[in-house]
Amino acid sequence: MLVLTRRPQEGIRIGPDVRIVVLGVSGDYVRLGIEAPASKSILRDEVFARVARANSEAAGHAQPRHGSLTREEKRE
Amino acid sequence: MRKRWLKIEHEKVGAFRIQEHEILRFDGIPGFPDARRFALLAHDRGGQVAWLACCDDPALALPVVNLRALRPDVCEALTPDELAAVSAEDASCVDLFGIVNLRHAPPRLNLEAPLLVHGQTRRGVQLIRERALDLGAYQIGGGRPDSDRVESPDIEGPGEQSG
Repeated sequence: MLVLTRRPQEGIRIGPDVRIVVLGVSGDYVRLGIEAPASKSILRDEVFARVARANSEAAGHAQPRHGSLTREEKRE
Repeated sequence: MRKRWLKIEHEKVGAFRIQEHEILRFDGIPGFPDARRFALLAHDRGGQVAWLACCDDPALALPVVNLRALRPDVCEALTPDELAAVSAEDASCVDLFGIVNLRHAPPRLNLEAPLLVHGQTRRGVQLIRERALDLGAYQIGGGRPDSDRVESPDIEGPGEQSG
């Protein structure tokens, strides 16, 4: 992990179009400002982790039996 | 031009063939960052639960439902920023799929993080929304009754569930 030290109002850039600025520090909290294209997905870690867990659970279910979905096989 | 077929030996859904231009392309999805190419396999007995089988990971397949089948205007709820994630100009050129967790009883449809796919480019992304999509009451049919069928259960939406 790259580790950088920044003061309030200082920022970092990720690539040409993403900028993260430290807006302030208060106790245990750091306020960040993020400038990025609207198409970029920006998420809190815990939200991303929740979706990843949901995906893993959905993928972990017993899957259909072999041959049941071979739609394309029938074209052979 | 000769169409190029790929044959995938998949651990979960069996072997299938797919044309290259039919493959859905993601930049990974949460939990599966290396899963890039997917095939959407419809259930051949008419159930609404299809399978999104990963072409890069033969152990990965996600049960999904086309949300347009449950609410035809569901894509109208997408914001311009969400559409921009797959370079779509409007909602008419995208499809939206919900991942189904069949481990839950009743099975749970994830409306917080649907899969958005551009119909022409086949580019896809998993959206993560602050507010889950609202489908109202819905029911997902499991296809024709058949003792040999794969699991494709009936799923009811919140409007019809108890509690």
